[in-house]
Amino acid sequence: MSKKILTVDDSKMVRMIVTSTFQAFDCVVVGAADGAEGVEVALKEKPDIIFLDITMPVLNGIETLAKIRATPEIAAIPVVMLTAESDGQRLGMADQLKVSGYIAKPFKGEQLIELTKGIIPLVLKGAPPKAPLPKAPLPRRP
Amino acid sequence: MSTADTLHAKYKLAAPPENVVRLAKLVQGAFASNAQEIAVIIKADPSLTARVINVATRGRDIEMDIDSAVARIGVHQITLVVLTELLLHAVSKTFATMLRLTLEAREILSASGDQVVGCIQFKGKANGRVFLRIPSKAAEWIVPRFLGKDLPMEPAELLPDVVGEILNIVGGNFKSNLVDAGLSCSLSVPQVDTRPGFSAEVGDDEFHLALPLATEGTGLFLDLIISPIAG
Repeated sequence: MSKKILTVDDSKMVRMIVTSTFQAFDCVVVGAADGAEGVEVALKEKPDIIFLDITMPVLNGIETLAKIRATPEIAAIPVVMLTAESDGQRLGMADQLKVSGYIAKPFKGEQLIELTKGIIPLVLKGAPPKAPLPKAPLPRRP
Repeated sequence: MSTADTLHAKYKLAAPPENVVRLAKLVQGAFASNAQEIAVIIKADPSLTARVINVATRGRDIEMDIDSAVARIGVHQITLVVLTELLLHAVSKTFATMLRLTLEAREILSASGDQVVGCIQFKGKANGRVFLRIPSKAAEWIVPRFLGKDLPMEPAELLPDVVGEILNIVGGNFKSNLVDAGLSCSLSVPQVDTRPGFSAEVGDDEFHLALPLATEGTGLFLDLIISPIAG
């Protein structure tokens, strides 16, 4: 089943990079341009993972993360911060709000894939579904 | 190990390079250190030493040692030079990681034609603004470098967003280095527009440093305007 990824960033460029990064995988990427819209889209789409910027208008990334954690329907969704702000203060705030990962901009697409694979399973498009392993006969007791 | 170091390790984030940490701490120390102490720290960094001497001699071919240069330009202007180095480091890192491009400081004639101009403001112990200007005609090569060749719209339409995001990344890196060195700093959201020319509005008591940068495709322009830093 396709995985759903939400990218919340006021930069169209970053949303496009995230979308193209996961193009090869069986997943759908949806976007939001600020934190308030991000919460709305998360409630509607129930994504499997959220990439969240910090410096954004309306609601910044830390406020957005707090709102996500306080909203029961989406509170358990893994959130990865994708931001240029990686000082100890920001990291501490995100850590307290139980982020699943933190990527500092500037970033490469491979970093997103590697971190995502550690949180949700990613399957390449067109890859055959994994066949169940044949049952091995139980070893005979001597 | 500090809390910041522990959290960097927990999230597998690369620690800032040693020279960046030293520069950020120099800005912090500059509020309390005297000129001789600052000169000793600057001497350990050849690129910073060259820039400080260049500022002190106003680019003229005069022999001057770093102690004299520091004494001549004073602690506040040294702080400006160090902040500039931190910004340049952030810009170079962004271009190298996301565009695989090397930038170098070079004398370039001012851009002709329309430019996309982005501005980000920082407030805290140091107050100022950073402008990034990229000629509109550079959109054709710079945007595909960021986003690949299959673009959903014309490169020129995406250039303002590219400029805004570069500034966002540069500002965020700059801020993070200052905050980890113990200085308060907050950032604005980038403002971007397209205009035919650019002239920085600089207050009487503000410093302005214009930095033309060249890369294989074009020249781009970085302007740092900073208010005097209170001790």
